Amino acid sequence: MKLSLDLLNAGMMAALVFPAWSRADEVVKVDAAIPVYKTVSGVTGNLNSIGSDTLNNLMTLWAEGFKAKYPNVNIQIEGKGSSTAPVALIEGTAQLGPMSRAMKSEEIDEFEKKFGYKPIEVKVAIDALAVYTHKDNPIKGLTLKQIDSIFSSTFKGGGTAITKWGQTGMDAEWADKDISKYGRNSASGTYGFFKDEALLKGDFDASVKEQPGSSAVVQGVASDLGGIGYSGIGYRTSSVNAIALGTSPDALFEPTYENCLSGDFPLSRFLYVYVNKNPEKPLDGLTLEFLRFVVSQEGQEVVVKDGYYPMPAEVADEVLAEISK
Amino acid sequence: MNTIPEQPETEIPGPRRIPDPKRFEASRLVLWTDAFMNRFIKVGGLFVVVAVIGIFVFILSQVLPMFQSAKVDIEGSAGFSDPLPEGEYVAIAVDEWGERPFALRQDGRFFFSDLADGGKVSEGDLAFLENDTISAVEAVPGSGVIAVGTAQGGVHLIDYSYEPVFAAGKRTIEEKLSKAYSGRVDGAVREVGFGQSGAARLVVTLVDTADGQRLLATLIERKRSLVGSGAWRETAAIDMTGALRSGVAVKSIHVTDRADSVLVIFENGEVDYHFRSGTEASFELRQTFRPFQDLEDQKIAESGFLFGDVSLVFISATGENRIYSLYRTEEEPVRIFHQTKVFKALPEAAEFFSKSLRNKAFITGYRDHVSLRFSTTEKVRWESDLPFQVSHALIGSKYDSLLFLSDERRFHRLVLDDPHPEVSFHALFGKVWYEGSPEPKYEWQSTGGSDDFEPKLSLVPLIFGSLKGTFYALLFALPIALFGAIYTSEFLHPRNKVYVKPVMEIMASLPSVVLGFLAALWLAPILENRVPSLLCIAFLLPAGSFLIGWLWSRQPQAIRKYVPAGREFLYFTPVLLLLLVAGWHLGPPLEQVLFRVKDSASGEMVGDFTRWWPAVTGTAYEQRNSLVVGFMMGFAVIPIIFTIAEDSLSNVPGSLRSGSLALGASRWQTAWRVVLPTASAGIFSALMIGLGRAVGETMIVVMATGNTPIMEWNIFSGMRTLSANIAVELPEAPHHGTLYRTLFLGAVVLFLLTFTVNTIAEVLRQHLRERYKLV
Repeated sequence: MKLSLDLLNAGMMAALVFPAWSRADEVVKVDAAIPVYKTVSGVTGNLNSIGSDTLNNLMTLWAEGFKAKYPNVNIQIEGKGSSTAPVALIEGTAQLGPMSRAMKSEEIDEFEKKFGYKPIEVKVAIDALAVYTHKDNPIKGLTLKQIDSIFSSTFKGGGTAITKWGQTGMDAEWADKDISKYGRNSASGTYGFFKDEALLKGDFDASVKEQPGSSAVVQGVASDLGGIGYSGIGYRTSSVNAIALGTSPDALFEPTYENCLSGDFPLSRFLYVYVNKNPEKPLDGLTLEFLRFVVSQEGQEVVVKDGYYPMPAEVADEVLAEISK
Repeated sequence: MNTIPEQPETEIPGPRRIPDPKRFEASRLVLWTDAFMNRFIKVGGLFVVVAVIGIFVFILSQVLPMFQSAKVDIEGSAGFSDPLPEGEYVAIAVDEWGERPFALRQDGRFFFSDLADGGKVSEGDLAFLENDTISAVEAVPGSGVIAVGTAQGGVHLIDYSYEPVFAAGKRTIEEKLSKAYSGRVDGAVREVGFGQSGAARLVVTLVDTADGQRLLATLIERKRSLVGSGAWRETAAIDMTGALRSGVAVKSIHVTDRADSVLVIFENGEVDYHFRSGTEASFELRQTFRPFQDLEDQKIAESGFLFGDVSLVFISATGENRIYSLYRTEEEPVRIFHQTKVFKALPEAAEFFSKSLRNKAFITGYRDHVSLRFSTTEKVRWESDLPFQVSHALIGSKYDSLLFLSDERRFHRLVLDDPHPEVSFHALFGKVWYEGSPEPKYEWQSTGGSDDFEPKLSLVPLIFGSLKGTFYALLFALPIALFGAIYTSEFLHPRNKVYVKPVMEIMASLPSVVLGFLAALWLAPILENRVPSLLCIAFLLPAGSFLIGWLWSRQPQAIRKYVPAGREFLYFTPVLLLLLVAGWHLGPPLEQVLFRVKDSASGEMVGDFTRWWPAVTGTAYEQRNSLVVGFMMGFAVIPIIFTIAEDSLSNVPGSLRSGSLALGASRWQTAWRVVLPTASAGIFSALMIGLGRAVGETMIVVMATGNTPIMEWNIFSGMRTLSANIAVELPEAPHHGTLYRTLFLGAVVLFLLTFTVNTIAEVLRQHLRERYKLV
């Protein structure tokens, strides 16, 4: 699946290079307290990154920015999926392991068995896993229980099946319209996150159309009036609405930067880069500088450019403190 | 007179022409080369054999460890502590490295033992009880919390955590204990249940009050955000006293890790399942069941959740062991518990139970008898008697040790070596009843995003996928390749044949990754909306061919003489091309007429095959489906079958052909009745080599299907083949892990598959050759 995904993603690069930040009021500013990156001398060498396909574009943009500062650095990026990152770090084939989910305990066990310590988790950006509807759909938001009732077959949230828009409280011509569901394929970390958080680890209903990539989900919803689907906020376009979500009908929150930070938007998550750092030794210079660049003012501007959300200064400071230990 | 004098017989001057005595000897160089090549080829051949066997041995060596059973080192105990101080110990817990376990004494004091340092015992720095004793406790492994109820009505949550500290290349573990919550109830706490998710904690207590027993639930919540979590706050107190039964005592209480379900287990063997949905602060009774309903003694001796809190393990008073899982059926719209697994019974009632934090294993037993069991495979991994009596048991967090507190108050840490508990022959090739599924099934889903994911490692869908891909590839390739070979060898003019064969052979040299790329990005999107066109073509081409042939044969000799035998393609090709174009354009009108389906958006009937197919057959229609794979794999297989089949047809002696024709048989009769049977052994080989190629084909399948491991013959859905599965999943399989070895097992199965096919083929081929042997 992943090989074919890569091909598809390559085809969709055009859509990604120009993120759809059209609405002026939603432009996210990078926290001014995040330090500007300062170039140091003597940074050369090879850097390999193997991991998440969600983070592939971000890694590429960061690598470009980094190479502009250090022309003697060579960076290779491979994005076959989050699950490839732990294996690459353990085998030592990569110094950077970007992941769109946190590492599982089993993966950490394997790493620890080989090195005697755990890998460190570097937060690099914030993503809101948004639920999208067609732009002409007047619905403002849904509760997580409704989301579970729409997407799952197990109804762990306690509801019963919702198949028509009328069941979400819409009336007039929408009352009788079927809900057409779009989701990701099971190899994706986004699929796993949505399954854990929105379906409470339940199972997807068989009627959810499994799309090979995040942009395919958004495209599917954009071309289907009764459509609903989930994807990272970086894939938002003007032909879909990212609806508000919440735990109760009178407390629904849009997937804005503020709501992600406050925790009000229930499906926000960090994107990570894992690195192998011996707790008794400092990180090697090249990896350290790359990560410092990623969490710098410039690195976080790249995040915004790619449609994701930057990290607040306090998190960036924590990250900096941890990697420079 | 001039006469020519008789020439005397003189010898011609120069070296004497005596025969070289060595003339029958070969030169040294030749001999040397001969000897060298002789050995070199022998050694080379031997190397090839050794290499092939070596590969097989290597693959087997990767696969076999998967089937080893669990080993527990009882004698060489990896840790053995000094005895803890006197007293009654109510709970134990351990760090994830298994080095610093602690036990909680009834008076609320913690005693740690350092197993990495000779088992020295030290007291923890937290004392939270004064003149009170613990009357109920719940220590769910891995939660980091111990819930305690006291005789005087105190309810406490104690957080514990461990931190590794690295200094001078050595790791030491430091613990931290803190009181997280304290509450009061009016009376002694008899039972306590505790469960927590990231944002909610639920404490359920059974309290002896002045006016009878009460069941109270306390909800403690916090707000979670990305940048940090808020403080825990008590948000609701729920009185569940109504759930109690008069005259039936409560045996134990379990709360799930989402803090949304409470299970009350009664002494008479009944279980009540209460559920709280979403953010509500009240519980509804969803189910009451008796796990051992069919037994005489229905009492439950021990019970507990497996990792993931979807399955409940019950052990009866007689030692029967069953697992109940939550799932939903068509008839029952909510998730309730159903029996899914039955284990070998314990000889006696269990006295302890604990779950693994890495997989679906659990440990149970009584006194000195311990049994380690695995839910997915329904197998007892290890069962034995220990040299001491067990009062508390835990499975090490990494599933690498077992920890016991003996009745002599010593910790015993036994090393557990069981790297592949998920594997059994039945789990790989049989139907397995996975958690949350309403029935046992074959399923391949090797990795999930969370820790409590249950790997589903059935190879059956993959074997099925390999066969399905092969079937559709051959369905397309066989007729074309075989008829192509027969036509080329028997009917086509030799002058044209010279060009056809090399062209077909060039086709074989196309890399399969290119074919896969074409299939995925070019062919699949075209075919997606053109299935009716394909149907038209599939009908028009053969029908058209017959019609042209028939029409041509009706023409007078005056016309037919212009196209000599062997050049029929001159009039066939343009007409067939025309039919192809016609079929392609006839598709959409046909779709509008035949494949009408109700459009859900507008409510009108529209012609759309992609929606008609799922509506009529109930199976999926995917863009990357078996049809696309069949086409593209056909391109890889056709040249192989064609070349070999054509060779064997051409090798049939011309005398047979001439004889047949001379006796008055037509060209067709000769080809069909004489040439084909004689060449059948070779044609059969061609088929089998084509089949072998299709079974093992990887790149085309990886790229042109969705790689969905499903088990249906539907031509419009994809498949996941054994070889594609290896290509896709190997990068994410940690070395020597279960998935890694299972993938190698897939390789073995693939090998056996082709080996069997080839053996059968060889036997049949010999048989055919014997039968149609040329004298």
